[in-house]
Amino acid sequence: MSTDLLIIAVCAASALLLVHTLLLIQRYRADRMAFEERLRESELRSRSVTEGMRDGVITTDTDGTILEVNRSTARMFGYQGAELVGRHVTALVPPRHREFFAGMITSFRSRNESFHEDEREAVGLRLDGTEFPVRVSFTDVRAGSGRLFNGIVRDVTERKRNMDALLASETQLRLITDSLPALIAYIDADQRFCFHNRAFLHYFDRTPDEINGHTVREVFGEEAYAAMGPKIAEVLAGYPVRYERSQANRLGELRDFVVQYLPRYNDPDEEDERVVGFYSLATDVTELKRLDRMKSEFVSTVSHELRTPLTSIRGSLGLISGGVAGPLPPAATSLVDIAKNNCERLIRLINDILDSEKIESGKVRFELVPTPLKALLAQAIANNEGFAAQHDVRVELYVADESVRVYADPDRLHQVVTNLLSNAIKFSPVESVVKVRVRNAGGLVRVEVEDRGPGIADEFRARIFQKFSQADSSDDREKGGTGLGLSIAKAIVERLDGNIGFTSEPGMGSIFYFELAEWREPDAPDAAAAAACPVRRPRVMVVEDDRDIARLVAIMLERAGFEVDVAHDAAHVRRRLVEASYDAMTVDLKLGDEDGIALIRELRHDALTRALPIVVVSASADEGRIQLNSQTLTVSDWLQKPIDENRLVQSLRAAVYGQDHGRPCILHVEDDPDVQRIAEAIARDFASFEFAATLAEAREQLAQRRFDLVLLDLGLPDGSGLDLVADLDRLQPRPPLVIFSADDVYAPDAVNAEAILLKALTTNEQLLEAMQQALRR
Amino acid sequence: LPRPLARILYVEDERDIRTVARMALEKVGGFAVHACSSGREALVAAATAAPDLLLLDVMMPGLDGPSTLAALRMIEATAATPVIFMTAKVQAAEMAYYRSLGALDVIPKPFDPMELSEQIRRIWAAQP
Repeated sequence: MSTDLLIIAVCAASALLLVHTLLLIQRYRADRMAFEERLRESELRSRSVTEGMRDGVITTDTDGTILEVNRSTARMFGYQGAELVGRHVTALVPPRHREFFAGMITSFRSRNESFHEDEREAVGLRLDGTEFPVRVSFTDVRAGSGRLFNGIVRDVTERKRNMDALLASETQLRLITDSLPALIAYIDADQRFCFHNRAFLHYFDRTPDEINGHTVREVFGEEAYAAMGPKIAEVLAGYPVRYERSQANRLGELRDFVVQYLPRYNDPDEEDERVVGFYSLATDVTELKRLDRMKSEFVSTVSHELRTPLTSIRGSLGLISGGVAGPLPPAATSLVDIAKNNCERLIRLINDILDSEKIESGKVRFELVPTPLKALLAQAIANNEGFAAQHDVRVELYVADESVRVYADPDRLHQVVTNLLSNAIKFSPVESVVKVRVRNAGGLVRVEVEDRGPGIADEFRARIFQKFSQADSSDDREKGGTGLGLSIAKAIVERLDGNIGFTSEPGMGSIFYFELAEWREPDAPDAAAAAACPVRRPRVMVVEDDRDIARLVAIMLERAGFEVDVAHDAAHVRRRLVEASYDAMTVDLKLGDEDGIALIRELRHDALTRALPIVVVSASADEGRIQLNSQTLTVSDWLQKPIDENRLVQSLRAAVYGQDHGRPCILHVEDDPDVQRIAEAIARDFASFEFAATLAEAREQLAQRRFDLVLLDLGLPDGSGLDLVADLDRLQPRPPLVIFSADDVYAPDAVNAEAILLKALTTNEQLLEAMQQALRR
Repeated sequence: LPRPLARILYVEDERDIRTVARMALEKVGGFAVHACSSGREALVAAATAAPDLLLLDVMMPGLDGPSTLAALRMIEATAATPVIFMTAKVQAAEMAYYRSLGALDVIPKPFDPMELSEQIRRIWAAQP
């Protein structure tokens, strides 16, 4: 019984053991399989990595026999993958390079340490015999005691093609710029030379090393840079520049150059537009200038030389027709008159040619003075009276505003009017009237000369102001014109910054006109408002689409002594700029749907408003500042909304008068003129003063404008200065207060003042310090 | 008042102009005219003939108008003789320059022979 039990127990134990063993084996096999699986995966992964690579991967033994290649290699060299295995790696390079490659592999083999050879250029050979550029690098791989070489090959056909194209285009660019007879350079925002053509080197006798990477200041020297610096600043601010400059060449000869700078912006796809450098093109115009001088001298000499024989001819004909040489038969008289008239016309022609040359070449200096227009027109009409009478034409003058003046050279303007008048008279039908009118339009004065002549034919309109361009030779020549009158008139009007034109209806007559800016005296000082600080109330345009804020800003500025106009949108701004000139402008960056920055850019590109001080007042001033700075659009200041009145006024004063003139204004309430004078003498250097001798005057002053400080005497003829403190406390912002009073007047401690000084105990220095401290608050 | 103008010393290198102007001055203006063809000749004539007025061409070979004027001013007999220039250089700046040399005025060429004498009389009457 016990034996049976024992056997059963042993059997059971064996079975358990067997089951356990089987379980163990099974787990081992599972582990093993998982391991192998992982191994395969890893190998697959690494293969898929090399297979997926665009670069070719070639594995060789240490003799250079190919063991494995990835798909890219095969494709690159035009083989089926397996075809390459077993070949020598030098089969992939042209025969002429094979020896070199074999040698390289030998040298790899002889190295004992691991190595990594950097990429080098080589030539690949495809199965079909074609060659292509590659870059190849080598490493070795150690596997236990074995060693393999790995080559990584990259097809650089595309890259090389691009490089070649780039090189070719650069070479081409060089060839072009080098063969141009101008100095060409590209200079970066740090004012360093990045590019220059050969003429540049040749001209200054420099080597490329002496120019490349050097600053303009280094290359041209301090003296020349003094002239160039401002122009460079201008182009780097985004404005194209053109100017003339004399520059010594390598022989030390001074040559004349026309220099042009063109800004270069960063790539348009980058967000912020900014200037990254500029192109400089300098053309030697010495020879042109010499030729121009020669031309002028020639014209001048010819006109003089022609004049000499003409003097004899004109004189002789004049004497004959004047009967000095005895009486002539009537037929001879008319012939002599013909000769004499044509002689005079020839003389006018010579005068006009000389005139036209001088005006156009800018050699005539214009003496510009405020010129009363009515008197000038009346004079010109009187001078042409005889001519008008000859043609049986009457000239009438209509001037509404007798006092209107223009800023011009009276003699030259007279010449313009005479030219227009004589044309009008010549082409008028007999017994008709030529009307001369003066109109005022938006700051411009327009002078019109209207005739009832045949009008200007359509085909002639475009040429009418050109030289020698009479409408019809048989027509104007018959009228005795030189063909230069309108061309001269145009040249003069343009020199006076005006414009000239005409309207005409064939058969009905013509109106020729010119327009010049009206001359206005600078406004007389406005005693009531701003006598102390500005001489004239500076005019500010507030550009703000929110009407309430615009009104608020206007009120703040008006109280500070500015004259204010409001514009609500960009179109409004443009309109206002035509109507009046401004000393400064505030701009909100968000103008309804429009962009304040675009507006500022537009203003900066207009010659008239390029230098107009602009203060940005905006809820997004900081954001705008970043945007604007990157565009190098200069503005005077930035103010954040909500608006701080003090900041606004200070900032506009600084913008209008420059930092130095943004001086604080002090109201001194004091009935003793001596004390007034002393206080002003002490603080004159940093502040301006307004005085009030009574409480009533002080209240009036405070109601009119804003002060930066009130200096207050307490004993005033019409009450105690303390009564004014309550008025000050009501002001927004409340100006700082310094009480400066006699010691017999009691000032309560509780009074809200920055300082309380007693006259008898206060030195001038202490008063000065108290005022400055209060102003700094 | 300046004394009446009667005797004019006229200096001009161009013969034809000299002929025409002389005729204009004598026949139209009724002046007594002594004509010279160069500045040098004029210096001698001016010192001896004591004219009331010199009418002086500007552009002449040798001594030109301005040099002749300068030389006249250094000779006692002619130091105060009034001078009028005649010139074909008629640009405003040129005319102003010749006036600034101490001439009464400048008459541009070509001139109107029937007007020339009247023009000279006006200038003569206007002198300070």
